[in-house]
Amino acid sequence: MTRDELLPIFEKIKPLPQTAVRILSAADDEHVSTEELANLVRHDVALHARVLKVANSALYGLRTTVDSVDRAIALLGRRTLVKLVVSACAGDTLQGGERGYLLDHGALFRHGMAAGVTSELLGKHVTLANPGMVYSACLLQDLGKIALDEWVAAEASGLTHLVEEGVTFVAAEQRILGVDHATVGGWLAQAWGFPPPLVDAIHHHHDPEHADDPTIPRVVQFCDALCLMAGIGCGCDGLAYAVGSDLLANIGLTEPQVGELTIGLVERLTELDQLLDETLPA
Amino acid sequence: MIGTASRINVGIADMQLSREAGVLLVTHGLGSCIGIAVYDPIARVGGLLHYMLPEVENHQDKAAQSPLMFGETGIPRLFRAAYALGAVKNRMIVKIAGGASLIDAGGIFNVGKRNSLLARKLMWKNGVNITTEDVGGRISRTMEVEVDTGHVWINSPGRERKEL
Repeated sequence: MTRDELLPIFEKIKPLPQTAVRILSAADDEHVSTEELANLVRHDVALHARVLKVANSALYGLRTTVDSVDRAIALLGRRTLVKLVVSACAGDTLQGGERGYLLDHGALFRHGMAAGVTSELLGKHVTLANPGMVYSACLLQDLGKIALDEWVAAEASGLTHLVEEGVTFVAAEQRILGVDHATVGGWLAQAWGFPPPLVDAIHHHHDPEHADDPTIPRVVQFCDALCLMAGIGCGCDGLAYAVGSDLLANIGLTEPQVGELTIGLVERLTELDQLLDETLPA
Repeated sequence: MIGTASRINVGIADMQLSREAGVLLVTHGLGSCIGIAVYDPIARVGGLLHYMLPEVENHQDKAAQSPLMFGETGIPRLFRAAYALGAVKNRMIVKIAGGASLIDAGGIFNVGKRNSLLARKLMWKNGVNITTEDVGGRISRTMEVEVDTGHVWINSPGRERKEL
């Protein structure tokens, strides 16, 4: 399956709003002031309201009510703004994966959010150069599953058979469909004008060492792995993904820290599910 | 299967027990985690534990707050709670599921394997037989326990529902 063959499918998927893409691109640009970023949110009334809802959720644990984007930035910082924006929008986009990948309703968004939360927890153990981009890549990593869902449904038995033989799900997708969901996600991210590091991270979240810069894809792969181990976002692909033996060392983590992060993730799930219940489209 | 069962959800690091007719205990999303179902067919007491990590080592504070997070502290609590409802050790039917793993050459992410080993070790040490198990592999599982009958069901995406 080629990119051109998938273009009609891409057109049917609800893209991330342009305001969100502009904020994603500008968030780490030091030439763009915080005020300019806040203006982008302010001028999109629907987005502004949803950003405030996320900022006021238990997930961020603020003791005071956030009633404006300026207040959100003052309390949470500029770097958190991009996380709020992407979290507020991605639920509309991350729909699907139910027919082919056999995900529960809303599981694509829940898995992405859980991976994003894991990246925040990880940031307490190691320095993440670009936490907003990392969070966004975690959240949007499986965009390609939306586009490939029907093809996966049509080839389900062949894919399952290969996985049962010990092949990774990504390799099974490549063999049977000619392309895997990470590559397709990268194409979709590029088509929507995402910044190049985000496109690269989505494209290579299952093979980070092939990325232009493996730093962000490694973190996405790690956060994905922790979520799958906790049973978050498993469909017919289950846990049939490979992780390199040097992944932890490359991120700068130790084995006991993996246990701590697993615990931290599960402790945040109640707050995350509360937010998802309030924001997820029916 | 019970068509009109009252479902009780068992979350991660959680356990639920019942001796009420018509109750179905359900835990979703067993990835590397382990689900342990216990059942006494005479007392008709059923229980289900969903733990996520094997040993408490390095996590004593967390184990004090959330003992059901760990097999080491969760499994004894499951059995004690079943006994409190009238279950008797030598009548207990024990079934376990979960413990899947990623394809991990380094073994760091093999929590699933360590989780199932811990369950077997604790049962063996305490003289309890595991009646059946469905552990390991790369699949996620949902586990259901019928309190009326003690039947345990496993669902996995893309696979046929099966009785354990």
